[in-house]
Amino acid sequence: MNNKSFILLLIVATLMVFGVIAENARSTASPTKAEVSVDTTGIRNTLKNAGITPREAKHWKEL
Amino acid sequence: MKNYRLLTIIFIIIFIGGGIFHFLKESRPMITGTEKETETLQAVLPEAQSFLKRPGPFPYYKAYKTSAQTDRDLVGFAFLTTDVAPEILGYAGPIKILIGMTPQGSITKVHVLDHSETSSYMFQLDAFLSQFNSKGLNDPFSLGDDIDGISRATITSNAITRAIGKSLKEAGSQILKLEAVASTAQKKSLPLSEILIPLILFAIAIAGVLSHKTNIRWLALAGGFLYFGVIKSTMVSAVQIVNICLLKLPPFDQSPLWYMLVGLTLLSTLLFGMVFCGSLCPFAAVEEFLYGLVHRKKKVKEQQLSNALDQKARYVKYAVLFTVIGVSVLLGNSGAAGIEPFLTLFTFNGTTLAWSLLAFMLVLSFFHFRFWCKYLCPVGACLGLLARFSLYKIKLGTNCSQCAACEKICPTRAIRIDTDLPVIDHSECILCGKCLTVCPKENLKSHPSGENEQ
Repeated sequence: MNNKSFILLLIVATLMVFGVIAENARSTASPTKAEVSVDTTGIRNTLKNAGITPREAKHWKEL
Repeated sequence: MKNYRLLTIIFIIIFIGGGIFHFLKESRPMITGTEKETETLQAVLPEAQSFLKRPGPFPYYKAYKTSAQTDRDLVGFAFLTTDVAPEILGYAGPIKILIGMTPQGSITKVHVLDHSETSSYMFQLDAFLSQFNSKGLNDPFSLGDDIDGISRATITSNAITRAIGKSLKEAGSQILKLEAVASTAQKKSLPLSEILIPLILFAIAIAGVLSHKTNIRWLALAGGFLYFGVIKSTMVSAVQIVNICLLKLPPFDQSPLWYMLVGLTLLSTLLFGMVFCGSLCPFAAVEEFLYGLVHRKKKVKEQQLSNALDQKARYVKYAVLFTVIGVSVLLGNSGAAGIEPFLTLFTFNGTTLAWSLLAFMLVLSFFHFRFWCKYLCPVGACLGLLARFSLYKIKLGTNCSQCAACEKICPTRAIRIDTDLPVIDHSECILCGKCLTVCPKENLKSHPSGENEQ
């Protein structure tokens, strides 16, 4: 391993280490994402029981 | 010789200053956004539409949904394990878990809000947590019985299981006034093997250092590889250095291995030098084994780097150490410190970049003796600074023939001839003892601390 190839390898290795630090820091710092699951079938059934017919997704299309 | 005085001062400033900064930051009251809070609560109680915070014996939330028939229906409760059972700690301090509970006392869902556990061990967290869904007050919450732990993360799994189980039973009793069956999970006794085996391994390693026998050093390396690496998947890492800085320590009765490993490493370093790095580190064992495959019969000759370049390159590991501590202190979490390739190798978990780094280090190990240890390892950097103050040191006698045999044989290039005499860099010395055995005049000896005789 001569000096030039050593420098190159060390730079690559160092970048990878700092990349892992950045990756870990990003995942630690990012807000805890809570997976929100909405029971759409339950909501639909509740609306139907109340005599209301839900209209499908037109509102979103307009937006 | 590197400027160790400056490096030690920087380390002390970052380590102690970081600890004080973290303490002051933690003692400030936290302000939480209502929107974020509601979003998180909905994660554990998906049916709920509104929440009402209640003081009670511990803070908790009542969750409601509106329906066509009634104004609002109670759909459950939510509370934090850190409020109900703050005494239960994980591997690196408290694990904040939000629990959703139905009015009948069963879990809807649990969600980890904050933890400082080593990220490499937490890849299977979601699958692990899903086991708690629908568990009730009378379930045993016993790891290994009704709950399967996260592979290679027993302490964390056990802490999460006990925290959730205890919190649910407390909440059922205090909020719902229900009677819960006492947990049948027996309190586990102190695992003596986690105290004795590290003691034996360190004793073997120290015996190898004092006797300068390569076979004993290899026995210790093999033992360290098997026990710390393969069986326990734990070793001294930057995560532990950061956790000590942040004072996030696990309870002794749950993780005596943590204390044995860290305590014996620090003690042996202060007494003899780099005992752990030289004779016990599982990743170093892998590196040396791979290097030996290629160089054992001198099939490939390692080209020597210039001394100046080699010395400068070794500063990189100090930059890694200082960065890791600095970033972790700013985040208040040791998660950023889990960078070492041995975590990936022995836990079999890691991101693509972490796996790439491991592969790169293993390939380099074939051609360069302990590349990771010499130039990048933050643990080696930290222990190296401590090793300068060790009681026993390899020292030069009075009749050096200036043959430079010690300089040539030193695998870590910790010895170099300076003004005709060998100078030993104790921060880089792995105590392999090769210099002591090769010296024709037996002029190098290990002695209690002091200056060279010459």
